[in-house]
Amino acid sequence: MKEKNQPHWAMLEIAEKEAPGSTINLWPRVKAQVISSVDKGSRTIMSRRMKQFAFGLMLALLLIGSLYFVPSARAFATNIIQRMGIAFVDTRHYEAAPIQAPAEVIKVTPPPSLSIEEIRQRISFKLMIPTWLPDDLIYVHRSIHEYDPAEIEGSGQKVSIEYGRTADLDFQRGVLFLSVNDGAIPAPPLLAESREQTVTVNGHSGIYVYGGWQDDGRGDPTTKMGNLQWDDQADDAYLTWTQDGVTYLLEAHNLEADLDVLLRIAESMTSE
Amino acid sequence: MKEADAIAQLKAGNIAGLKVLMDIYQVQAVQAAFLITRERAMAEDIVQNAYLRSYERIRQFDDSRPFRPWFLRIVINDALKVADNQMHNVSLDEDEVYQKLIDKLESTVDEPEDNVQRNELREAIIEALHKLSPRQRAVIVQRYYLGFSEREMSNELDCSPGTIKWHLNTARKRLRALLLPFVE
Repeated sequence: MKEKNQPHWAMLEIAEKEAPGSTINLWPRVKAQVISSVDKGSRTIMSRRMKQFAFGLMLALLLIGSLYFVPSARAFATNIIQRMGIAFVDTRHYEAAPIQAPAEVIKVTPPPSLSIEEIRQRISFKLMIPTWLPDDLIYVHRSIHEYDPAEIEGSGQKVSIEYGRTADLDFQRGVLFLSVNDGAIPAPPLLAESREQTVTVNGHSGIYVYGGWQDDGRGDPTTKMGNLQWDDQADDAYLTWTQDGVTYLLEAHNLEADLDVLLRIAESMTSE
Repeated sequence: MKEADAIAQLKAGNIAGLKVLMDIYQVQAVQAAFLITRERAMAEDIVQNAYLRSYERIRQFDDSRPFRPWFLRIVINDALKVADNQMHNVSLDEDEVYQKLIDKLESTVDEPEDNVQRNELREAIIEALHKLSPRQRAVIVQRYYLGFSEREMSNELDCSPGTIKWHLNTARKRLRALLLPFVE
Protein backbone atom coordinates (compact mmCIF):
# COMPACT_ATOMS: atom_id res chain seq x y z
CA MET A 1 0.00 0.00 0.00
CA LYS A 2 1.38 3.33 -1.00
CA GLU A 3 1.61 6.13 1.51
CA LYS A 4 -1.41 8.36 1.56
CA ASN A 5 0.63 11.53 0.92
CA GLN A 6 2.19 10.20 -2.26
CA PRO A 7 0.84 11.67 -5.52
CA HIS A 8 -1.72 9.52 -7.19
CA TRP A 9 -0.40 7.69 -10.23
CA ALA A 10 -3.44 8.60 -12.27
CA MET A 11 -3.08 12.33 -11.50
CA LEU A 12 0.59 12.17 -12.45
CA GLU A 13 -0.27 10.49 -15.70
CA ILE A 14 -3.00 13.00 -16.50
CA ALA A 15 -0.72 15.91 -15.78
CA GLU A 16 2.14 14.42 -17.78
CA LYS A 17 -0.14 13.63 -20.70
CA GLU A 18 -1.78 17.06 -20.84
CA ALA A 19 1.32 19.09 -20.01
CA PRO A 20 4.45 17.01 -20.55
CA GLY A 21 7.29 18.03 -18.24
CA SER A 22 9.80 17.78 -21.08
CA THR A 23 8.02 20.63 -22.86
CA ILE A 24 7.98 22.94 -19.89
CA ASN A 25 10.83 25.48 -19.73
CA LEU A 26 9.86 28.88 -18.47
CA TRP A 27 13.36 30.03 -17.57
CA PRO A 28 14.03 32.11 -20.73
CA ARG A 29 10.77 34.00 -20.26
CA VAL A 30 11.25 34.51 -16.54
CA LYS A 31 14.88 35.52 -16.94
CA ALA A 32 14.02 38.09 -19.59
CA GLN A 33 11.26 39.50 -17.43
CA VAL A 34 13.46 39.61 -14.31
CA ILE A 35 16.21 41.48 -16.13
CA SER A 36 13.65 43.80 -17.64
CA SER A 37 12.08 44.45 -14.24
CA VAL A 38 15.50 45.13 -12.70
CA ASP A 39 16.29 47.68 -15.41
CA LYS A 40 12.83 49.13 -15.12
CA GLY A 41 13.19 49.21 -11.35
CA SER A 42 16.49 51.03 -11.62
CA ARG A 43 15.00 53.50 -14.02
CA THR A 44 11.99 53.88 -11.79
CA ILE A 45 14.17 54.51 -8.77
CA MET A 46 16.26 57.02 -10.67
CA SER A 47 13.15 58.65 -12.01
CA ARG A 48 11.63 58.74 -8.55
CA ARG A 49 14.78 60.23 -7.07
CA MET A 50 14.92 62.83 -9.80
CA LYS A 51 11.31 63.72 -9.13
CA GLN A 52 11.97 63.91 -5.41
CA PHE A 53 15.01 66.08 -6.00
CA ALA A 54 13.10 68.36 -8.33
CA PHE A 55 10.26 68.58 -5.86
CA GLY A 56 12.65 69.35 -3.01
CA LEU A 57 14.39 71.99 -5.12
CA MET A 58 11.10 73.63 -6.01
CA LEU A 59 10.06 73.59 -2.38
CA ALA A 60 13.34 75.14 -1.32
CA LEU A 61 13.07 77.83 -4.00
CA LEU A 62 9.51 78.53 -2.95
CA LEU A 63 10.58 78.81 0.66
CA ILE A 64 13.49 81.08 -0.20
CA GLY A 65 11.21 83.13 -2.41
CA SER A 66 8.70 83.55 0.37
CA LEU A 67 11.47 84.50 2.77
CA TYR A 68 12.76 87.06 0.31
CA PHE A 69 9.49 88.64 -0.69
CA VAL A 70 7.70 88.59 2.66
CA PRO A 71 9.32 91.37 4.66
CA SER A 72 8.57 89.89 8.08
CA ALA A 73 9.82 86.45 7.05
CA ARG A 74 12.90 87.95 5.47
CA ALA A 75 13.61 89.97 8.59
CA PHE A 76 13.13 86.89 10.75
CA ALA A 77 15.43 84.80 8.55
CA THR A 78 18.04 87.52 8.48
CA ASN A 79 17.90 87.77 12.22
CA ILE A 80 18.32 84.00 12.62
CA ILE A 81 21.17 83.88 10.13
CA GLN A 82 22.96 86.75 11.80
CA ARG A 83 22.46 85.21 15.24
CA MET A 84 23.91 81.96 14.04
CA GLY A 85 26.88 83.81 12.64
CA ILE A 86 26.39 82.42 9.18
CA ALA A 87 28.26 84.48 6.65
CA PHE A 88 25.24 85.16 4.51
CA VAL A 89 24.97 88.69 5.68
CA ASP A 90 24.87 91.14 2.87
CA THR A 91 28.19 92.92 3.09
CA ARG A 92 27.96 94.63 -0.25
CA HIS A 93 27.20 97.96 1.25
CA TYR A 94 30.32 97.66 3.34
CA GLU A 95 32.51 96.43 0.52
CA ALA A 96 31.19 98.80 -2.06
CA ALA A 97 31.48 101.77 0.20
CA PRO A 98 34.30 104.04 -0.85
CA ILE A 99 37.21 104.24 1.45
CA GLN A 100 36.43 106.98 3.81
CA ALA A 101 38.65 109.94 3.65
CA PRO A 102 40.41 110.74 6.87
CA ALA A 103 38.02 112.51 9.15
CA GLU A 104 38.39 116.17 9.03
CA VAL A 105 39.80 117.39 12.26
CA ILE A 106 37.65 120.12 13.57
CA LYS A 107 39.60 122.16 15.95
CA VAL A 108 37.48 123.57 18.64
CA THR A 109 38.89 126.67 20.01
CA PRO A 110 39.09 126.16 23.73
CA PRO A 111 37.67 128.82 25.93
CA PRO A 112 40.14 131.44 26.94
CA SER A 113 42.47 130.37 29.68
CA LEU A 114 41.53 131.70 33.05
CA SER A 115 43.86 133.20 35.52
CA ILE A 116 44.33 131.64 38.92
CA GLU A 117 42.54 134.54 40.48
CA GLU A 118 39.53 134.16 38.19
CA ILE A 119 39.31 130.53 39.01
CA ARG A 120 39.54 130.98 42.73
CA GLN A 121 36.79 133.55 42.54
CA ARG A 122 34.47 131.09 40.80
CA ILE A 123 35.05 127.96 42.81
CA SER A 124 33.82 127.12 46.25
CA PHE A 125 36.76 125.03 47.41
CA LYS A 126 40.36 125.67 48.22
CA LEU A 127 42.55 125.24 45.11
CA MET A 128 46.19 124.33 45.35
CA ILE A 129 48.44 124.73 42.33
CA PRO A 130 52.02 123.58 41.80
CA THR A 131 54.78 126.02 42.27
CA TRP A 132 57.33 123.75 40.65
CA LEU A 133 57.14 122.23 37.21
CA PRO A 134 59.64 120.76 34.79
CA ASP A 135 61.40 123.61 33.05
CA ASP A 136 60.24 122.82 29.52
CA LEU A 137 56.51 123.12 30.24
CA ILE A 138 56.10 126.54 28.72
CA TYR A 139 52.39 126.55 28.02
CA VAL A 140 49.49 126.52 30.46
CA HIS A 141 45.73 126.58 30.02
CA ARG A 142 43.27 126.73 32.87
CA SER A 143 39.55 126.12 32.80
CA ILE A 144 36.60 125.28 35.04
CA HIS A 145 34.05 122.51 34.39
CA GLU A 146 30.79 122.36 36.19
CA TYR A 147 29.12 118.99 36.88
CA ASP A 148 25.68 118.50 38.26
CA PRO A 149 26.21 118.48 42.01
CA ALA A 150 23.15 116.29 42.39
CA GLU A 151 24.93 113.49 40.58
CA ILE A 152 28.40 113.62 42.03
CA GLU A 153 30.02 114.23 45.35
CA GLY A 154 30.91 117.80 46.23
CA SER A 155 30.04 120.95 44.38
CA GLY A 156 30.55 119.40 40.95
CA GLN A 157 33.23 121.93 40.18
CA LYS A 158 36.41 120.78 38.47
CA VAL A 159 39.46 122.78 37.61
CA SER A 160 41.60 121.60 34.69
CA ILE A 161 45.08 122.95 34.22
CA GLU A 162 46.97 121.73 31.17
CA TYR A 163 50.67 122.26 30.74
CA GLY A 164 52.50 121.59 27.51
CA ARG A 165 55.83 121.80 25.85
CA THR A 166 54.15 123.50 22.90
CA ALA A 167 51.38 126.02 22.66
CA ASP A 168 49.09 123.59 20.85
CA LEU A 169 49.39 121.06 23.67
CA ASP A 170 50.94 118.43 21.42
CA PHE A 171 50.36 115.21 23.30
CA GLN A 172 53.28 113.46 21.67
CA ARG A 173 55.74 116.17 22.68
CA GLY A 174 54.75 116.06 26.32
CA VAL A 175 51.88 117.31 28.41
CA LEU A 176 50.97 117.47 32.06
CA PHE A 177 47.33 117.53 33.10
CA LEU A 178 46.18 118.55 36.56
CA SER A 179 42.58 117.87 37.50
CA VAL A 180 41.27 119.23 40.77
CA ASN A 181 37.82 118.01 41.72
CA ASP A 182 35.67 119.11 44.60
CA GLY A 183 34.99 115.61 45.81
CA ALA A 184 35.71 112.42 43.91
CA ILE A 185 36.69 112.43 40.26
CA PRO A 186 33.52 111.78 38.26
CA ALA A 187 35.30 109.80 35.56
CA PRO A 188 38.71 108.66 36.77
CA PRO A 189 41.10 107.18 34.21
CA LEU A 190 40.92 103.42 33.86
CA LEU A 191 44.28 102.10 34.95
CA ALA A 192 45.76 98.67 35.59
CA GLU A 193 45.00 97.87 39.20
CA SER A 194 47.91 95.45 39.32
CA ARG A 195 50.29 98.34 38.67
CA GLU A 196 48.94 100.62 41.39
CA GLN A 197 51.42 101.73 44.01
CA THR A 198 50.23 103.28 47.24
CA VAL A 199 52.23 106.34 48.04
CA THR A 200 52.08 109.24 50.48
CA VAL A 201 51.44 112.65 49.00
CA ASN A 202 51.59 115.65 51.29
CA GLY A 203 50.84 113.35 54.23
CA HIS A 204 47.86 111.78 52.47
CA SER A 205 47.51 108.37 50.94
CA GLY A 206 47.71 108.38 47.19
CA ILE A 207 48.06 106.06 44.21
CA TYR A 208 50.78 106.10 41.61
CA VAL A 209 50.69 104.19 38.33
CA TYR A 210 53.26 104.14 35.58
CA GLY A 211 52.50 102.85 32.10
CA GLY A 212 49.49 102.93 29.85
CA TRP A 213 47.21 101.14 27.46
CA GLN A 214 48.48 100.52 23.96
CA ASP A 215 46.53 99.50 20.89
CA ASP A 216 47.78 96.17 19.52
CA GLY A 217 47.37 97.55 16.01
CA ARG A 218 44.96 94.86 14.91
CA GLY A 219 42.01 97.15 14.63
CA ASP A 220 40.78 99.02 11.62
CA PRO A 221 42.08 102.56 11.77
CA THR A 222 38.94 103.79 10.00
CA THR A 223 36.38 101.95 12.14
CA LYS A 224 37.59 100.58 15.43
CA MET A 225 40.50 100.25 17.77
CA GLY A 226 42.45 97.09 18.23
CA ASN A 227 42.69 95.32 21.54
CA LEU A 228 44.19 97.38 24.30
CA GLN A 229 47.12 95.91 26.17
CA TRP A 230 48.86 97.41 29.17
CA ASP A 231 52.34 98.62 28.40
CA ASP A 232 54.67 99.12 31.36
CA GLN A 233 57.05 101.02 29.11
CA ALA A 234 54.54 103.59 27.95
CA ASP A 235 55.62 107.08 28.98
CA ASP A 236 52.55 107.76 31.06
CA ALA A 237 52.46 108.44 34.78
CA TYR A 238 49.50 109.04 37.07
CA LEU A 239 49.37 110.28 40.63
CA THR A 240 46.13 110.88 42.50
CA TRP A 241 45.31 111.72 46.08
CA THR A 242 42.60 113.38 48.10
CA GLN A 243 43.35 116.29 50.36
CA ASP A 244 40.77 118.32 52.38
CA GLY A 245 37.91 116.80 50.41
CA VAL A 246 39.48 117.75 47.11
CA THR A 247 40.76 115.07 44.73
CA TYR A 248 43.85 115.79 42.70
CA LEU A 249 44.98 113.89 39.61
CA LEU A 250 48.28 114.51 37.90
CA GLU A 251 48.82 112.92 34.47
CA ALA A 252 52.16 113.15 32.72
CA HIS A 253 52.34 111.96 29.12
CA ASN A 254 55.55 111.71 27.17
CA LEU A 255 57.34 113.80 29.80
CA GLU A 256 59.58 111.03 31.09
CA ALA A 257 58.17 111.91 34.49
CA ASP A 258 58.40 109.25 37.16
CA LEU A 259 57.11 109.09 40.72
CA ASP A 260 59.79 111.44 42.00
CA VAL A 261 58.85 114.09 39.46
CA LEU A 262 55.15 113.81 40.15
CA LEU A 263 55.70 113.83 43.91
CA ARG A 264 57.85 116.89 43.59
CA ILE A 265 55.12 118.64 41.63
CA ALA A 266 52.50 117.53 44.14
CA GLU A 267 54.54 118.61 47.14
CA SER A 268 55.09 122.00 45.59
CA MET A 269 51.42 122.69 45.45
CA THR A 270 50.08 125.50 47.53
CA SER A 271 46.88 127.44 47.90
CA GLU A 272 48.66 130.73 48.18
CA MET B 1 23.24 23.58 -5.78
CA LYS B 2 20.89 22.91 -2.93
CA GLU B 3 17.55 24.60 -2.54
CA ALA B 4 18.75 26.52 0.54
CA ASP B 5 21.79 27.82 -1.36
CA ALA B 6 19.58 28.84 -4.27
CA ILE B 7 17.31 30.79 -1.93
CA ALA B 8 20.31 32.48 -0.31
CA GLN B 9 21.59 33.47 -3.76
CA LEU B 10 18.21 34.79 -4.71
CA LYS B 11 17.98 36.82 -1.55
CA ALA B 12 21.37 38.29 -2.44
CA GLY B 13 19.94 39.35 -5.81
CA ASN B 14 21.53 36.62 -7.90
CA ILE B 15 18.97 35.26 -10.38
CA ALA B 16 21.02 32.07 -10.79
CA GLY B 17 19.27 30.97 -7.62
CA LEU B 18 15.94 31.49 -9.33
CA LYS B 19 16.94 29.17 -12.18
CA VAL B 20 17.76 26.40 -9.70
CA LEU B 21 14.35 26.75 -8.08
CA MET B 22 12.67 26.72 -11.45
CA ASP B 23 14.52 23.58 -12.49
CA ILE B 24 13.20 21.90 -9.36
CA TYR B 25 9.58 23.06 -9.31
CA GLN B 26 8.47 24.47 -12.65
CA VAL B 27 7.11 21.21 -14.11
CA GLN B 28 5.13 20.38 -10.99
CA ALA B 29 3.85 23.95 -10.77
CA VAL B 30 2.76 24.17 -14.41
CA GLN B 31 1.06 20.79 -14.29
CA ALA B 32 -0.75 21.67 -11.05
CA ALA B 33 -1.91 24.97 -12.51
CA PHE B 34 -2.98 23.19 -15.66
CA LEU B 35 -5.05 20.65 -13.71
CA ILE B 36 -6.88 23.54 -12.05
CA THR B 37 -7.27 25.89 -15.02
CA ARG B 38 -7.35 23.24 -17.78
CA GLU B 39 -5.39 25.62 -20.04
CA ARG B 40 -1.72 25.00 -20.70
CA ALA B 41 -0.83 28.55 -21.77
CA MET B 42 -2.70 29.98 -18.81
CA ALA B 43 -0.90 27.57 -16.48
CA GLU B 44 2.49 28.65 -17.81
CA ASP B 45 1.60 32.31 -17.40
CA ILE B 46 0.52 31.65 -13.82
CA VAL B 47 3.75 29.85 -12.96
CA GLN B 48 5.88 32.45 -14.69
CA ASN B 49 4.13 35.15 -12.70
CA ALA B 50 4.53 33.10 -9.51
CA TYR B 51 8.29 32.87 -10.02
CA LEU B 52 8.50 36.59 -10.63
CA ARG B 53 6.52 37.28 -7.47
CA SER B 54 8.74 34.86 -5.55
CA TYR B 55 11.76 36.75 -6.84
CA GLU B 56 10.27 40.04 -5.68
CA ARG B 57 9.15 38.71 -2.29
CA ILE B 58 11.99 36.33 -1.55
CA ARG B 59 13.22 38.56 1.29
CA GLN B 60 9.93 37.93 3.07
CA PHE B 61 10.42 34.19 2.82
CA ASP B 62 11.23 32.47 6.12
CA ASP B 63 14.31 30.31 5.59
CA SER B 64 13.21 27.94 8.35
CA ARG B 65 10.21 26.83 6.26
CA PRO B 66 10.29 24.69 3.10
CA PHE B 67 10.14 26.60 -0.16
CA ARG B 68 7.93 24.13 -2.02
CA PRO B 69 4.61 24.70 -0.20
CA TRP B 70 5.25 28.46 -0.01
CA PHE B 71 5.81 28.68 -3.74
CA LEU B 72 3.08 26.25 -4.77
CA ARG B 73 0.59 28.13 -2.63
CA ILE B 74 1.20 31.15 -4.84
CA VAL B 75 0.63 29.01 -7.92
CA ILE B 76 -2.53 27.36 -6.57
CA ASN B 77 -4.05 30.65 -5.42
CA ASP B 78 -3.35 32.31 -8.76
CA ALA B 79 -4.74 29.32 -10.61
CA LEU B 80 -7.85 29.47 -8.46
CA LYS B 81 -8.35 33.15 -9.27
CA VAL B 82 -8.09 32.43 -12.98
CA ALA B 83 -10.30 29.37 -12.78
CA ASP B 84 -12.94 31.24 -10.79
CA ASN B 85 -13.52 33.31 -13.91
CA GLN B 86 -14.35 30.12 -15.78
CA MET B 87 -17.09 29.13 -13.35
CA HIS B 88 -19.74 29.19 -16.09
CA ASN B 89 -18.43 25.85 -17.31
CA VAL B 90 -18.86 24.13 -13.99
CA SER B 91 -21.36 21.32 -13.80
CA LEU B 92 -24.43 21.77 -11.60
CA ASP B 93 -23.73 18.43 -9.96
CA GLU B 94 -20.18 19.31 -9.09
CA ASP B 95 -20.41 18.12 -5.48
CA GLU B 96 -21.44 14.70 -6.61
CA VAL B 97 -18.71 14.61 -9.20
CA TYR B 98 -16.25 15.74 -6.59
CA GLN B 99 -17.22 13.01 -4.18
CA LYS B 100 -17.05 10.31 -6.80
CA LEU B 101 -13.67 11.46 -8.02
CA ILE B 102 -12.18 11.41 -4.56
CA ASP B 103 -13.59 8.01 -3.82
CA LYS B 104 -12.14 6.72 -7.03
CA LEU B 105 -8.74 8.16 -6.34
CA GLU B 106 -8.78 6.78 -2.79
CA SER B 107 -9.75 3.34 -4.02
CA THR B 108 -7.17 3.14 -6.80
CA VAL B 109 -3.97 3.90 -4.98
CA ASP B 110 -2.41 0.83 -6.52
CA GLU B 111 -1.85 1.15 -10.25
CA PRO B 112 -3.88 -1.39 -12.28
CA GLU B 113 -1.97 -3.83 -14.41
CA ASP B 114 -4.51 -3.66 -17.19
CA ASN B 115 -3.76 -0.78 -19.60
CA VAL B 116 -7.34 -0.56 -20.74
CA GLN B 117 -8.61 -0.23 -17.25
CA ARG B 118 -5.84 2.25 -16.57
CA ASN B 119 -6.77 4.42 -19.56
CA GLU B 120 -10.46 4.30 -18.79
CA LEU B 121 -9.85 5.31 -15.21
CA ARG B 122 -7.62 8.19 -16.29
CA GLU B 123 -10.20 9.48 -18.77
CA ALA B 124 -12.91 9.24 -16.12
CA ILE B 125 -10.83 11.27 -13.70
CA ILE B 126 -10.17 13.89 -16.34
CA GLU B 127 -13.84 14.14 -17.11
CA ALA B 128 -14.70 14.41 -13.44
CA LEU B 129 -12.06 17.08 -12.91
CA HIS B 130 -13.62 19.13 -15.67
CA LYS B 131 -16.95 19.08 -13.89
CA LEU B 132 -15.61 20.33 -10.56
CA SER B 133 -15.46 23.86 -9.25
CA PRO B 134 -11.99 25.46 -9.20
CA ARG B 135 -11.71 25.13 -5.41
CA GLN B 136 -12.63 21.47 -5.55
CA ARG B 137 -10.14 20.89 -8.32
CA ALA B 138 -7.54 22.71 -6.26
CA VAL B 139 -8.21 20.36 -3.35
CA ILE B 140 -7.90 17.29 -5.59
CA VAL B 141 -4.75 18.60 -7.25
CA GLN B 142 -3.06 19.39 -3.97
CA ARG B 143 -4.06 16.18 -2.29
CA TYR B 144 -3.63 13.66 -5.13
CA TYR B 145 -1.22 15.35 -7.54
CA LEU B 146 1.06 17.38 -5.26
CA GLY B 147 0.66 14.88 -2.40
CA PHE B 148 0.00 17.49 0.24
CA SER B 149 -1.21 16.30 3.62
CA GLU B 150 -4.51 17.64 4.91
CA ARG B 151 -2.62 19.94 7.27
CA GLU B 152 -0.49 21.32 4.44
CA MET B 153 -3.57 21.84 2.33
CA SER B 154 -5.34 23.71 5.09
CA ASN B 155 -2.30 25.93 5.46
CA GLU B 156 -1.91 26.54 1.76
CA LEU B 157 -5.62 27.01 1.07
CA ASP B 158 -5.90 29.16 4.17
CA CYS B 159 -8.73 27.13 5.69
CA SER B 160 -8.98 24.75 8.61
CA PRO B 161 -8.12 21.03 8.39
CA GLY B 162 -11.76 20.36 9.26
CA THR B 163 -12.87 22.18 6.14
CA ILE B 164 -10.48 20.12 4.04
CA LYS B 165 -11.75 16.92 5.66
CA TRP B 166 -15.29 18.01 4.98
CA HIS B 167 -14.42 18.68 1.33
CA LEU B 168 -12.77 15.31 1.00
CA ASN B 169 -15.38 13.30 2.89
CA THR B 170 -18.31 14.92 1.17
CA ALA B 171 -16.66 14.56 -2.14
CA ARG B 172 -15.75 10.96 -1.43
CA LYS B 173 -19.41 9.98 -0.96
CA ARG B 174 -20.75 11.83 -3.96
CA LEU B 175 -18.00 10.87 -6.34
CA ARG B 176 -18.54 7.22 -5.69
CA ALA B 177 -21.80 7.32 -7.62
CA LEU B 178 -20.28 9.09 -10.59
CA LEU B 179 -17.41 6.69 -10.91
CA LEU B 180 -19.38 3.63 -9.89
CA PRO B 181 -18.94 1.83 -13.24
CA PHE B 182 -15.18 2.01 -12.90
CA VAL B 183 -15.08 1.05 -9.24
CA GLU B 184 -17.26 -1.97 -9.49
